[in-house]
Amino acid sequence: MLMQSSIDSDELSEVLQAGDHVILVDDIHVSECVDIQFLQSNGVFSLTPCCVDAASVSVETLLNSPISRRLVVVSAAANAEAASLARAIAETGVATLCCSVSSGCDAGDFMDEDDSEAVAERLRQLGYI
Amino acid sequence: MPDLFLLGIDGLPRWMWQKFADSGVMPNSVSLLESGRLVPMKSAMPEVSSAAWASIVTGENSGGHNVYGFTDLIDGSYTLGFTSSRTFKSKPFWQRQGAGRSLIMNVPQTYPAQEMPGMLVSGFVALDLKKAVYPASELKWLESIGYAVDADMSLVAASKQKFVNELRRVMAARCEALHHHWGREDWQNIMFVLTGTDRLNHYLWEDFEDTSSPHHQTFLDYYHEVDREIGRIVERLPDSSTLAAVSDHGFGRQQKSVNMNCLLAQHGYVSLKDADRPSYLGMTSETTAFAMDPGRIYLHRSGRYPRGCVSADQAEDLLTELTQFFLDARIDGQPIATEVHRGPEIYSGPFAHRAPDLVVMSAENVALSGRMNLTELIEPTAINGKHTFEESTFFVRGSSASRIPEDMKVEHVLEVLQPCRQQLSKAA
Repeated sequence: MLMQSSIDSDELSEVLQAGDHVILVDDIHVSECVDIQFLQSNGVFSLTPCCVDAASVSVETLLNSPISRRLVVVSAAANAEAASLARAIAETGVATLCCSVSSGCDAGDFMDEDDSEAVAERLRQLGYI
Repeated sequence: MPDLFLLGIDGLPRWMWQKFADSGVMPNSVSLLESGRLVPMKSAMPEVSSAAWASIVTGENSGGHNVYGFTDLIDGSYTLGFTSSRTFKSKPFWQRQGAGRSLIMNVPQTYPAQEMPGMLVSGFVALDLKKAVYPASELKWLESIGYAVDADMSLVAASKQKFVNELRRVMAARCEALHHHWGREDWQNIMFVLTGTDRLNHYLWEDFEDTSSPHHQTFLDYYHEVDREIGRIVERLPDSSTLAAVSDHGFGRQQKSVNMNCLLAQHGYVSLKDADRPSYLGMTSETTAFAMDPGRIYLHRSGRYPRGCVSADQAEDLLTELTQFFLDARIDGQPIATEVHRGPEIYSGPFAHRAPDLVVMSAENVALSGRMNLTELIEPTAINGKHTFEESTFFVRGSSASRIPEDMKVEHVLEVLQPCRQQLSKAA
């Protein structure tokens, strides 16, 4: 079964759970997590976060490792190779989560537009703008 | 009793605290400083309060917490955004698993107030007390004592004395609120920041330096009152609590504010559709580099900005050219910069891709303004004190002192104070 999730980078540590096996296909910061294993470039899993090339991951080799809980493919947003890899894994019957991580900053991350004028004035008074 | 009491004194240089303790201006600080370890600390790059406080409370540089200044451009646009608590992309220590309940007061960059385990009153830039308090049930009491989210800065134009009286009034209410809420619950952590010191230093630094100024004593008297409040806190804290004090940056004289966008425009780097109505929105595709406060330089890259013209191939030469440009620049024969750093050298983390390409560190007596204003190279201002990167303050009493690194920086504070919790938070 394939699940998909789009999250902000600060939510990643909440999405990953003990027992997960993670394939990290983009340079996304993942803190070392207790009882979460990461695919290494040599095809085995270990506790150290490691970025691998999605195109070079062999699903067959992957499944030689015992996956107790689920497999999570973590990538930056809109990574088609990551999505394709997640689908291929899910087709083997392994519970799979395809997790797209966004590390951008949109309008909602800043002060409300209504407050802009007042904020600007406060910053001007202190010479910031 | 709190495990940790973190006192913030915005803009207090380490050397000044020691000097005032030694000279009798801050008598309570004498025994306090002797009981622990006081070291100079480096601020954020650039040395702006929003980024520095964010680093102090998260243990990350700006590439980790996403706050580079008080302003930023919304991704993929030229729209200017003002950073808020929502811009913070790394959890402050009070939001982390295992932190316990915290009382957090007046920490900059925490507006609007976010849900957290405990109580929080936002710090600068805060506009409306109603949006600055979590939980909302605490609002009424704060209103009843005349708690102000900010000092009325317009009073500085009326008179320096009136301005300082205003700073005193605001500090008194803040401290009353601290002691009131301190006693209402057994907090795990308390963080309390005094920001009037930064305001005083910006507008009365010249009076501090000039001992014959009629406001020189006013400056010292304010710090004497700050010291009195420090004394109240120290008296109330048991010896078993870790007590630390930090400032976000140092301070020094400002004689000139140099507008970097104006300088860049004069040399062909910035081009606007309408120079009489300057804004980032008006940047044309001829712009190759622009500035944001204070000292941040961005290449107008294609792919990053809608009208961006600088390709990846062109970037390296342009960065080298701009670095030399700023180091060579002279205004009235004076240099404006001491160092220029590249973004990838100083930032790391999931938001490092949003970093400025260069950070220009200002020369002595010079402040670097990132205003989008192309008409005045030297900006008229009443501000006579500026932030410095070096010599912010770090003090700690207790066993944490042994963990202070040689090159102490704002992003090391949590590691020194809560190393076990820092490890846990990274594992959470």
